[in-house]
Formats: sequence, structure tokens, C-alpha cells
Amino acid sequence: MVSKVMKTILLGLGNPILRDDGVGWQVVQAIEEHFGKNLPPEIEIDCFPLGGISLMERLIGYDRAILVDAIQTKQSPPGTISRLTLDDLPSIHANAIHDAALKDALEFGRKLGAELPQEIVIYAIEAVDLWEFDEKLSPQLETSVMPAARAVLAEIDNWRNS
Amino acid sequence: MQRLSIDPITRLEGHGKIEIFLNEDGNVANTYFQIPELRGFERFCVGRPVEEMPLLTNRICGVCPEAHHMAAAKAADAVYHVDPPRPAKLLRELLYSGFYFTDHTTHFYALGGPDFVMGPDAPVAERNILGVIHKVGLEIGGKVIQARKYGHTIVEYIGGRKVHPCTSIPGGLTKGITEEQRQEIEKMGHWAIEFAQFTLNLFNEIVLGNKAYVDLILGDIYTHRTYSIGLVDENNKVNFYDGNVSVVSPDGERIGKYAPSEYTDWIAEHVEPWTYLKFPYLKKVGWKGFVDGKDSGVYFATPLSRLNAADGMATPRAQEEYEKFYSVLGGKPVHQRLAIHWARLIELLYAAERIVELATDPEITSDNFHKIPTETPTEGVGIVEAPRGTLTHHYKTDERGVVTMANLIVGTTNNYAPISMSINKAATSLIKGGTVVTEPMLNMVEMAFRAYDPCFGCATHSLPGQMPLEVTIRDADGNLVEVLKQYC
Repeated sequence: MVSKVMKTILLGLGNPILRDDGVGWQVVQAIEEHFGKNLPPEIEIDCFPLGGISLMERLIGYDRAILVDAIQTKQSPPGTISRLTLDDLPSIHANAIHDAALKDALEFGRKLGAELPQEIVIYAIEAVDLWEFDEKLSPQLETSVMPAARAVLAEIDNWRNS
Repeated sequence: MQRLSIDPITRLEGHGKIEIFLNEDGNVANTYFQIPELRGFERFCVGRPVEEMPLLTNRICGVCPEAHHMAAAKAADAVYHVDPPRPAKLLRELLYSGFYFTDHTTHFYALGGPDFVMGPDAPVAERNILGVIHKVGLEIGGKVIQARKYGHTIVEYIGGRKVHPCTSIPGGLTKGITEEQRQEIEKMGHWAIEFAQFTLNLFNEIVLGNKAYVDLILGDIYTHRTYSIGLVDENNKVNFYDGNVSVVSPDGERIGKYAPSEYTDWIAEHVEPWTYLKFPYLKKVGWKGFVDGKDSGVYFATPLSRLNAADGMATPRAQEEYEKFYSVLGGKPVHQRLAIHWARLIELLYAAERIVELATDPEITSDNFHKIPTETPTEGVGIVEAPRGTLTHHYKTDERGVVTMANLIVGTTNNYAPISMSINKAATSLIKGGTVVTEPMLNMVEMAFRAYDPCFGCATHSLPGQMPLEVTIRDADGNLVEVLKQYC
């Protein structure tokens, strides 16, 4: 019996010209550049600048999703990589663009019958500066890009082997 | 002195913070609305070719990239002294109308609408889009998604991408649309008109049909008599993409109109020690502090101010709604800030009608969508109406077209002074000596600025580490009396 191919999306979130907010983009770009050829075809890689309802709409049609984004808890050293699920985020207001929080937006989409990922994992990297226009990351985050990329790849391997 | 702090504000882009200081009698002594400043944008732009600006500036913000794309493109046209051919202007405006349709729809159903649909007293957890569809029906949720899809499709057909359009360049666009795409857009436009009318009817039923809401809108708490500004066409009708900025006094008298290149003659910026952000005001009137009236240069730039600053709407159905609006609210201009929500829906209908008008213009599929610039680039200003207010981009370049100066006045910045005033007035009206500060009361304070749809977001996609609403109350000696938290 052939098992169903799980369609997976890997999204780098954030604003690529706002210093550390661009870390999600840089991680997925690094994955594409260094490991893209070896990734299975059911995995789509993209960068996305929006949250909320727009992000929910982007996730339609996939079984699984990995999001890579900046986070600012001010409780971990800069560059710390955390693996989170939606339950780790506050239920409202979090990740809001000008509409709804991601968790609410997903619930909204599901109520409307949208096919949304059953499994969403978020790799978050502790940021230093999210308020200065620059395409470069803070030095403390630059060294986190490849480790975060490898963590994401390990997650994908894990999924494929499970 | 007691101190109340709402930090950061629920459902507000970015991390704004309101602080309310109470005196020893428990009345409001002062309020401060603080916004973190995004730094270094001018430095970031200097040294880049001006034709990159429409691509670069639309990355400033994830909420209205199309507005920055258009203002930057118009400023770049001006820098190169090139007037794009008519089909290019039509296409840009069509893209922009599709964007407006999406943005205003999303605002009403997800951000501003919940205050009315659910009511200001509803628990915070219900004042969101899930609460709205629970109350008005799942079918409407589907329509909201459909409306967004249509708007995004129009943006994609003309702008090349669903998010962050990339086709506007000095002198016009890099591409046009096919007849097939035109037909599809026309169909979407007709659907959009029906949807906008449906939304206005919903607003009529839920808000205007409820005396308590009408009283709230018309009440003094949310009223400010300031100047209104907005872009108008040659007939003084509201226009989002092109024209001159009309300035109307609190009495409804038009004191003038300015072309984009004249903006520095009209707008100046006031500095306060407690915030990095500056407060724009009307230079010809002068800064007199955070006060209402004809002698105060404070102005606002929102859907309501756009209606106030114009003589009407350029499309028939929106014009009917415009007349009804002023008839119900007692004539022009309207100063009740909660009426911004209603004005936004009239603009929603206008955007929908404009989609059909533009899609049926015989020149919309013309391949004459670009004029090659031939003059030496120097300096230029571009102005469009962003959903959240008048958006001005100003660039200077060297003779190669490389940017040497960039200045932006974004939609929300225009409204910094009036938002601060509205927060102060709502807090002063609602929080009196001896009253217990409750969540619905704080939401009523928040409603004062939510009507403006303020947006300070750029870093907003990063995940916040903790929950945004915390109210701290301190006694006159600074001792902590009580902390109210939600989702902390």
C-alpha cells in the first residue's frame, strides 16, 4: 500500500528590510541554497511578509507547515532558536497583521471549510533589533541562520521517517 | 498621581502604548500615546536608484504595500518629469481600487467592526472575526474570503504579484492586462458592488438600527472639530490615486488645495519631548497645541476626512450613500470620529464601482502603458490616499537618478495629534473619580483610536513573547494598587 504524500510548506516570515525581522527569510533562503536539491518534491519553500488572515490563506492546501520567524521574548539570549507550536502562542493578538491572530485566522479558515495544515511547527529565533531598516541581521543572529536551517531540515527528516 | 497603562494596544499593528495618568481625585490628569519609531529609512534609501523605490518602499509595511508602491511610483514619475500615458494611470488606479476593496473589507469585518457587531461591552476574546461570524453567520465569512481573493487577483493581474506589486516604474507600468483578464476583473467588480452594498446594509441594521450605537457615535466623547484633508479629483470628488489634497476647516470651508509638490508649504511637523514621532499640522494655521477648533492646525486624514474634504463621490451608488451619510449625521462636515467606520464602507462601495468603471474603459487593455523618461531626474513628490490617510513620498536624486534624500509622511502619522486628542477625551469622559476601571471602559478608550485604523507596523510578523494588554494602577505615591492583565 502506498501512503499518501504529505504536502508540506516551509515559509520564512517577516520583513526582509527590517534587520532581524528578516531572519525567517534568511533561514529558508539558506535551506533552498544549500539543501534545495536534496529536498523531496512535496516540500514547497517560500518567503512571506504577512501574518493573520493572509498567512492563513497562504497555508491553504497543505497538510503540514513549518514557519520560521523572529521572536522577541527578551527572556532568551539573542539568536536562541525555539521550536514552538500554535499552543505556545497567545490565543489572540499574537502575530496579528491588521486583522486577526494566526490561531484565530486558522480557526476562521477551518470553519469556512478551508483545507489547512493539521500540523504547524514554528521555528522562532530571538531577535535583537526589529526597528531599524537594514537588510543585514544583527551579528548575534547571523550565526543562528545555519543552525536554524539544520533544525528545520531535521524536522523535515523526522516527518518523512515517521 | 495614579497611572493607568494599556500596553500594547489590542489589535493594533506594532507596539503602541497608552498611558493614562490620574490625579489624586481619580480623574484623568493626562494621557500619552507613544509609538516606537522605525529608524533609518532615509539612510536605507539614499544611494539607491529611484526606480527601485516602488519595490523597496512597499516592503516598509505588510499592511498597505500597494499604497507605498503607488506613492513611490508617482514620486519617481515626478523625479523624472514624466507623465505616464492615460492607460498606465487607469491600470494603476484599477490595481489600487482592488487593494482598497480588500483592505476596507478586512478592516470592517476583522478589526473595527467587532466593536459594533459584538458591542463594546463584549469580552475581549469575542471582539474579533470569529465573534463576528458567529453572530452574523458563516456564509458572510465566506464572502469576506471571496472579497479578499478578488482584490488580490486584481492586484496580481496588474501588479505582477498578489503581495508587493512590482510593475510600476517611472513613466507607467512594465505590463498591461489581457482582454480575458479585463473581463474577469469586470465580473469581480460587479460582485464587489453587491458585496459592498450588502456590507452597508449590515452596518445599517446592526449599527444604525441600534439607538445605543447611534448615541455613541453622535455623542461628545468621540467628537473633535479639527481640519479635514483628502485627495480630490478635478471635480472635487474623492479620489484615492490622483489629484490635489483638499483642506477643509472645521466649519466646512475649503481653505485651499495643494498639489503634491506644494506639500511643504502646507504641512509642518511639531515635536514633543515625550515621543520620537513628530506631529504634522497645517502650517498656514499654526500649531496651537492638542486642541480643536479653527485656530488650531491639527487635522485628520481618514475615510471620514476624505468625505469631508470632498464635494462628493465620483460614482453614483457611493454618491447616494454619501448624501444619506450627511443627512443622517446632520450635515457637513462630520466630526464624530466613530463615523469613520461608516465612511470607510462608503469608500468600499466607491472602490467597487470604480473597479467596474475602470475595467470597462476602452483604453484599459491598451499596450500604451509606458512612456520612456527622457529628462534628467531631479526631485519629485507623489501623493496617494492610503486607506489610513494621505501618504506622501518625497525624493531628491542626483543627475543619475540615485536617491540623495527621501522623506515620507505616512497615513497614520498625519493622525498622531488627533488620535492623541481622542484618547485623552475618551479617557477624561469615561474615567472619573471613584469609578472602577473595567475592561469595557478601557475598550471604549481604545475605540477612540481604533476608528482611525492606526498602523505602525513593519516588524509585526515577529512573534510577540507576551500578551499585549496590561493595565497598571498606581496611587499618588507610585505604589502599585492593582494590575489588570489579559492574556499575559
